[in-house]
Order: sequence, then structure tokens, then C-alpha cells
Amino acid sequence: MITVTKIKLKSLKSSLPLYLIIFSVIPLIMITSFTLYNMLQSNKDTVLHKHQQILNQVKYEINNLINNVESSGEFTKENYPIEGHRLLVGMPKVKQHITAMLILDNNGILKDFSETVSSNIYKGYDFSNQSYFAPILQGKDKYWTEVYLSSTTQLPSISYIIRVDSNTIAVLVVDLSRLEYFSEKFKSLDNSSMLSIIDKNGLYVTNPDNKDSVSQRENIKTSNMYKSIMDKQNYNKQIIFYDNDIKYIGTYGITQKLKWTILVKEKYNYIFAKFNNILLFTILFVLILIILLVYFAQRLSKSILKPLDTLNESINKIASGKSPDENIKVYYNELAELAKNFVIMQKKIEEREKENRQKDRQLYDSIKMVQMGEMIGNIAHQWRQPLSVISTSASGLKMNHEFGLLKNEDIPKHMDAIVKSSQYLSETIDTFRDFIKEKKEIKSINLQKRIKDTLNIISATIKNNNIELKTNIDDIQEPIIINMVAGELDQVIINIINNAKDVLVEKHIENAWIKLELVEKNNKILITIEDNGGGIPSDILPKVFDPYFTTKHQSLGTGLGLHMSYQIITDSLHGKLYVNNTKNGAKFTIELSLF
Amino acid sequence: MKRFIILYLFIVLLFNACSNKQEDDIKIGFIAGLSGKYSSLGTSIRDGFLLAFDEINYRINNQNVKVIIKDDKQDSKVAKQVIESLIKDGVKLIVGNATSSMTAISVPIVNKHKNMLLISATASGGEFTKKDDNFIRIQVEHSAKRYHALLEYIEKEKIKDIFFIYDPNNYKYAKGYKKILQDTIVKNGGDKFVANVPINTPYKDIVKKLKSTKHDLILIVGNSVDSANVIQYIRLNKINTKILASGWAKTMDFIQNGGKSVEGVLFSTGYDDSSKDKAFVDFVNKFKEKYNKIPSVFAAQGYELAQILIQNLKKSSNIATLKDRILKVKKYDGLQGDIIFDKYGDVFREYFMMEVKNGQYSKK
Repeated sequence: MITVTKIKLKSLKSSLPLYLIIFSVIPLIMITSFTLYNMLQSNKDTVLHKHQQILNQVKYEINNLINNVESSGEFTKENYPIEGHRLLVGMPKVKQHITAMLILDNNGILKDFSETVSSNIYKGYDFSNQSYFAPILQGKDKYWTEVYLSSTTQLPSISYIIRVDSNTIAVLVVDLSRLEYFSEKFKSLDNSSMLSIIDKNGLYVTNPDNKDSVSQRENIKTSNMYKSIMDKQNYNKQIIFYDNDIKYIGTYGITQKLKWTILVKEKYNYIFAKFNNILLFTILFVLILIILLVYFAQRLSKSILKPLDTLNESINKIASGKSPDENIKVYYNELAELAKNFVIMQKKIEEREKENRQKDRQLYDSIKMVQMGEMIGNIAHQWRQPLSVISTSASGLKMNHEFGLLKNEDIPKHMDAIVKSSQYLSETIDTFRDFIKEKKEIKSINLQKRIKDTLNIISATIKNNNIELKTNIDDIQEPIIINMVAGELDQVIINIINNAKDVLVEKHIENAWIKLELVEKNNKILITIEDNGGGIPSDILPKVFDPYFTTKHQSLGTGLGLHMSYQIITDSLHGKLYVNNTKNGAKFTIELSLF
Repeated sequence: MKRFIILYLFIVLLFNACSNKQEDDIKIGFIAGLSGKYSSLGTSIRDGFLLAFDEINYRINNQNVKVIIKDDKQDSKVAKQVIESLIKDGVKLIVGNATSSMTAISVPIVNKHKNMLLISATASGGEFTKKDDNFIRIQVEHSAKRYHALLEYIEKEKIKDIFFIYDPNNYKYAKGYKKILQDTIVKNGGDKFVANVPINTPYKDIVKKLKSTKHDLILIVGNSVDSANVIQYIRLNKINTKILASGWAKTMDFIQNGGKSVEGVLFSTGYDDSSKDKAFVDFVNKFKEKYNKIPSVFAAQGYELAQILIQNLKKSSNIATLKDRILKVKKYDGLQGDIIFDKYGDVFREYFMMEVKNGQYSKK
């Protein structure tokens, strides 16, 4: 026998495609993501390396310029006292990044100057208020000014101030546009500039991509870009940021002396255009793959589950007694095999059903016969007594008549006895007829009375076999009312008592008795029928209710009585019927529910 | 089929979620002369203006503020181009221009468009006064009424002859000064300006002319560096006439480039650089911290303008009603006293005289 153990049921219909999808889609996505991530990282590393190299090169160039100007300053310090104005004129010619030289006295008055472009200044001008003059007043000998826009050229400039002697200060004005040209050389793939240099106050020194930001003194400190990246001092590290809604990747560093920020950047999307294409393609590919996977998972599960559904439907139909569909579409060998076997099984079931039906009919017939036999037996027992009375009366009458002893007054006496007995016989027939003809309908019955009637029917048979029939029915005062098909219970009781009687007779038990007890307990009715026939051997005890099982001689039993009783009690009356051995003999218990 | 519809809906929702930006940005155009000789004024306003937005991280309520900065290069053609490009980009609120000449280019263009607002921090030209248009400003217009401190001074000093040096590139502004002073000089018994000399005239020639004319005041209307340079030259040539410079020049560049030569130069101004007003001192400190330099009055005006805009944009980012809302509030806390709008969007602010003393601007 196949048993089904149910462990938290799931629907195969949803689980199957889900597992298919999970075990194909998730690894697919994971592997793809991992590969793409690694690709992106290695791309980023390459870009960072390139940016760092540019950064270093620019730092070197700036340092070079600074050192160059500082050595020019030293040269001026040594030679101005000797060379004078000649040096001022000569210097910008030799050092092209020096666009002007001013000589001031301790009061900030312009004593001498040379410039490549006229700025409307004249000897005698007072520059003591210039911000670059303040450190001189504080005693400093050489220093760099802030970056400023030249009032004449409007180009970013810076000045190097060096004290020449006790009353002479040299100002070397350096044109920073040279750095601009240098910066312009670092171009990204899209021809945009990669480089911008910002002074320590946040003003652009060079920004080839947006030259206006230099000429307009744009301050990076008020930009979101500055706040999001440069305020955090991530020098030399890779940074990704937005400027004017454009995404950039880059790095930045600070120059040693002037604390300028060098920002190397490229448009993120441009650098990663190829990668983005691959990414887009891969995502599209994976998406298509996922859609296909989902589609095929659905189809696969459908092609597996559809035949299963059909099989299931067929089984349901068989179970509910309808004839199943014959056509099951399958796409797989294994399922075809299953369907084939199912069809075979279906045929076998049909055959067996036919056989069973035949058997049942036979069984029914046998039971009828048995019941008839038993009834006839009972009638015969019932009749024996009155018949003998009739016979005795009639033969008494005849004998008295033959011997002339017949008195007239004897005749009515004998006739009365005959009539009474005949009436009794007639009554008996009626009772039996009623008993057999009773319709199978549920009605409210008085259990004690019903059992008593039943016992009356078989009491004669029992007594004839010298068996005492004990019962407690008369002790129960309160009538027990129960709804059921009355005849069925009678049949069972008769069956069991008859069985007991047969055993007692067969075993020639002395002082044989059969005891029927009725007990009402917890809304349950227990009817026990016990005998003192010594009990049922334990090896056959479990089989007593099986059909065609009998220990009696062929002439006495069909082996259907107890089986039928069991069927009636369990199926029809929804009760229980069981047997056990007591110290006296077998004890059958009928358990019925009151409600 | 049903599953595909669900899948489709899911994808659509996902895309929507990704592309669903928050509310639109508030776009503010900013136009000023930012490069070249005249950039000191424009960049000062810009730096002050941006400082205010920087303080609020360019966010008003849930909207990002996007300031689109354009340089009019103090050139009429460029000014026309930049304002038109801003309008084309759908910018409804524009701050600008810095000078009256450039503002005169922008105002008629803006007036052609409904629901636009042009607001200037510094344009002072008289021609913008008493007009109910799409232009308002927080700069006091050139008018005798508002310059009464200057006129009082002229009257008191009995100035009759003024030597006028001006920048032809901002003649509208220069003319304003001239117009105001004219009447008072006449009242003092003078006639007209003794000379009108463009500031780009060779200094030698200016001095020559100065030496050859009788005058009791030199009026210089030019930017800070030009004004400082010409004053240095004048003083170097021992001409010690009192000099009145325009508000345009009143930046730190003027004092730095002018040295001791600019000591005693007068200004008529609404801003006191040495003010101890808490709001002003706070602003100066913030500005110094951010830019590592001392703010000019123009930076202060840019900052004030930004504050007025922020205050009103916080209530609603609808530009169409912005002008009315600004004027309805009428009175604003400036960095130095109140800024009071009239119904045409012109402001009143108390003006006074200042002079350069020991390398600093101080109230006279």
C-alpha cells in the first residue's frame, strides 16, 4: 500500500518555474555583475594611474616655474644694485614669463619699473596700500603674492617679492598664462581639457575648458563640486563628482609651495563610453535571456504539469464515479510511461470494479439467503411449540373420540387451544413479515423496546438449544430514544447472537449463556453481547470481520455474517463494532453515538 | 499574457522611479560684466550673491537652485546675446546687470516677455525710475533727492566748477552724476562742467587740462583701478583739488592701487565699509572666510539681493508673482539698515558721504 506523507505542501505549479528561474537567473545575474564590476574597477585603476601621472607632471612643471622665478629674484637681488634699470629691461626679455618688474622703496613708492604692456603706472606712484606690500612692512624678505588678474592684460598673474637692499624691494610680475598653454595640452578623448589649477583661495589659475572662469575670478569654493570632493582632502585618490550636472572622474593634489590645487578630470561617461556600451549590451542581453528563461521555464513547467493535471482530473473523475477523459497529451517519455501505466491502471480498476460488483451481488444474494435461512429457522423454532399444541390437541381429540372418551365439553377446550395456537402462528408470521418488510428509513425508536422485540424473535431458538439469554434491558427505566434505521441494528444483534449460539452449541458448553447488556455512557450507547463459549483464538481475532472468513462448518456459515454486521455498524450507523475476549468468552461491543 | 503585462508594468514603473526627479530646479540667471577692466564690480556682486546661496547649499525648500552666470563683458552686443540666451533657456528670473548701461540693454528685452523678472543689485540709472515693468533693483537711483548729502556738501563747499573725468563705456551712469550736480553748481553761481574728459585720455593730457582750468572739484566716474591710477597721476603732478569718485570705484582695489594718493577722496554712498552693524560685520566675516579677501559694497549688495530673493522664493518659487510679492513685503533688513521698495520696485536707502582715511573708507 502506498502512503502519502504530507510535509508542508507547496504548489508544484509555482515552485517548479520559480526554482527553474532562481537557479538560472540568479547565477546569471551574479556572474554578470561580478564580471562587469571587475571590468569597471580595472578600468578605473588604469584611469587613476594615468591621472596621477599627469598630476605629477604638472606639479613638476609648476615647481619648475616657481624655482625659475625665485632664482630670477635672487639674481635681481645680487645684480640690481650694480646693473640698475638695465636689469629691469633685460629680465623680461630673458625670462618670458616675467612680464613686469617694479622697484619700490620702503614706503611703497614706485622708484623704477619695466613692463611689457603699459599699465598706466608712473614712477612716484604709491603702492604702499597694495596687499603684496604688507608683508614687507612686517619684515618679510621674500614671498609670493596671491594670484591676481593683471589690470592691463587681464591674465592671471602672480608676483614674487624680494628685498634687494635696505631701501629697495623688487617685484617680479609673473604671467601665469604660460601654465594655461601647458594645461591645454592635456586633453581628454573628447578634446576637453583634463586639467585645471586653482589657487589656495579657490580662484582658477588655469582652466582651459572654461577660460572665463579664470578671467571672471570664479571661486570654486562656492561650487557644490568643491564641497562634495575637495573639502575632504582626498589627495591623489580617485574621485567621482558632478560639476554642472556632468559626471567626472579624476584626482587632485596640492602643490608644495603655493598650495595650489591641481585637478585632473575627465568626463566619466566619455571615458567609460565603451564600458557603458558593454554594460548596456550585457544588461540587454541578460534581460532578453531572463525573459527567454522565464518563458521557457513557464513552458517547461506547463508541459510537465498539464498532463499531470489531466491525470489528476481523470483520477478525480474516477474517484467520483465518472468516466475519465481518454486523451492525455504528453511531451516527455517519462510522462508518456506514466500516462500509459495510468491507462493500464484505469482499465484494471474498471475490471476489478466489475468483478467486485459481481462479488457484491453474490454476497448480497448469499446474505439474503442466510437471512432467509435464519428467519425460517427462527420461524420454525417459534412454530414448534404451538404446532405441538395443535397436534397434541387434535390427536387428543381424535384419541378421545376413538376411545369414546370424548366429552362434549372437551371439544371447545381443545378447539380453543388449537385456535389460540393457530392465532399465535399467524401472529408470528405477521411479526416476521413486518420485520423483514420494514422499510430502510431513519426513524426515532425506543432502543430497549426494539432490542426486546429482536430478542423475542430469536429467544425460542436460543432456549431450544438450552442456552440462557441474559439481558439488563428491563433494568433500564429511562427509555433510550435513538434515530436510526431500526432493522439494521436488529440484523446485527441477531447475527452476533446466532454466532454465539452456534459456538456454544458446537462446543457443547454446559450452562451456556449469552448476555446482552445495554449501557448509556457519555452520549454513547454501548451494546455488548458476551457468551461463555471460551473466546476466540487470538490468531483469528483480528480476522473475524473479514468477508468469507468462517470457522464454522460449511453448512453452518457463509463467513459473511460478521462482515456484514461490521459494514452496517460502521458505514450505515456510523458506529463502531469490535470484539475482545473476556474470561468467559467472546465479547462483541456495538458502539453508537446518540447524536 | 497577464504575466507579460505585469512584467511590462513593472519595467515601466522601474524606469519611472529611476527617471523621476524631484521638483524642478529654480533657475536664476546672473548677468554682469565679469571679465576685463570692468569685472571688479560684476565679480564682487557675483561673489556676494553666490555666498548667500552657498550658505543654503543652493537649496530652497525641496528645490535645487541653479545659478546660471553670464558675462556681458560690458559690451552691448554681448549683453543682448546673453540675456536672449537665458530667456531661450527658459530662465524667468535674472539678476543683472551690474552697470546701468548694460541694464538698459536688458530691460526692454525682459519687458517683452511676460512673467519675467530682472532684478539688479547695482544699476542706478535714473531712466529706470518710476516704471512699472519687469525690472526692479535694490540700488538707489541717481536723483537729487537721494544724493542730498552730496549736494549739501557741494553747496556747503560752494563748489562751482567741476572737472569731470568719466568712463565712456558707462556713460549712462556718468551722465547721472553730472545731471544731479548740474543744478547745484548753477545754484552756487557756477555755470557748467568746466571739462568733460574721458578716462582713457592719456594722463599727461588730463593733467595738462587740469592745470589749465580753474576748478574746485574733480569728479571721476570710472572703475576702481582706472580711477586709482588717474588719481595717482593727478596727485603725483601736485594737483591737490578735492576729488569725488563714483560709487562704482568704491572697492578695495581703489585703495590698494591708489595708495596714499587716494587719501581724502570722497564718495557718496549708501554703504559704510566700516559699519559696525552686526549683520554687516557677520557678512564681512563670512565673506573673508570664504574668499580670503575683504568684500566691497557691491558684494554686500549682491548678498542683500540674494537674501531678498531667498526670503521670497522660500514662500513660492513662482517667478510670475515674485515681483509683486517682493514689493508687497516692501521693507527688508539690509546689511546696513532697511531696504525699502516703492511700488515701482525702486528702493530708498539713506546716502551719506564717505572719504578715504588711512587706507580705509570712513564716514565723513
